Amino acid sequence: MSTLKVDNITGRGSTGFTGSVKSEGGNTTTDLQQGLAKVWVNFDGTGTIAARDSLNLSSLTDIDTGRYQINISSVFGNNDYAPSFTCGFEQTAFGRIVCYDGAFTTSVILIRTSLTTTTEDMPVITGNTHGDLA
Amino acid sequence: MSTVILDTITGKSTATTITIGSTPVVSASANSMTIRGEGTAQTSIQQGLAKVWINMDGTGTIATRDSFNIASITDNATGVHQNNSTNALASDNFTCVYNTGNGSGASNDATNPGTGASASHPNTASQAVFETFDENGSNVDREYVGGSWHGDLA
Repeated sequence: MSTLKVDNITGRGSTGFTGSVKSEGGNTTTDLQQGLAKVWVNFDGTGTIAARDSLNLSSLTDIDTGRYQINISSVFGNNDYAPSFTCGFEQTAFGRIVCYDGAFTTSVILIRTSLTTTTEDMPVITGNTHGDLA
Repeated sequence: MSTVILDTITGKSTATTITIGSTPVVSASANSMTIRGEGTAQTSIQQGLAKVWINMDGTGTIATRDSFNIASITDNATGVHQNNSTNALASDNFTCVYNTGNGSGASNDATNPGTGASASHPNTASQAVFETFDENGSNVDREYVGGSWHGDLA
């Protein structure tokens, strides 16, 4: 066995480390940076909205009933990232939905939660976002 | 302080562990690399990675704005889209979540994924088919469509 004792390991050049890992099946590799969620959040969208836990979240804004603005701390490199969100409600007789509520910016995601045509505040809203950080 | 600058770190064996102090930061066995989580548990790097993500325009001649591991996209019908991956997953039992919306945010859209059991919209190891609906339950094409897949790559 060999042991290397250091304080920092740095990739060459200005880009730091980029990397890939072997797939679960062992037949290919997959990119680390591209596969990482750059934002995730679990928040209560009722009353005074509040994040229960999050990654790379700056703040949440309650725009209107069932309409939320997710503000990102470390911004994306463009507006072409991919948020994936879902929501829950205690009374589960009808499914609630999440949709995008307008175009993204590098630091803002707008979502809307509703039951068919009626926007509703939801107690559990969760999501993650993949894309290229700036 | 010491710094090592290099291109590649390779373990001498198939199961290599990198530790800082006495804490295992990364340990690897065949096709599985784990990293210590925020607490004390280890979590799989491979399992935590999205295997596909996409931001696409589902209107007109549909087009990908940005993506990862997407080979192509197919416009099957109004409000029915298919995403085809470059590197296939190991089975059709992966998770995929999609959302849609228009630029003005004026509609309450729903997005339903296909399933492997669906005869009309089957997911396979390399494709996901999903439908987008407006607030009246009618299939509709939307300007903003985004989603991601998690699961086991082949």
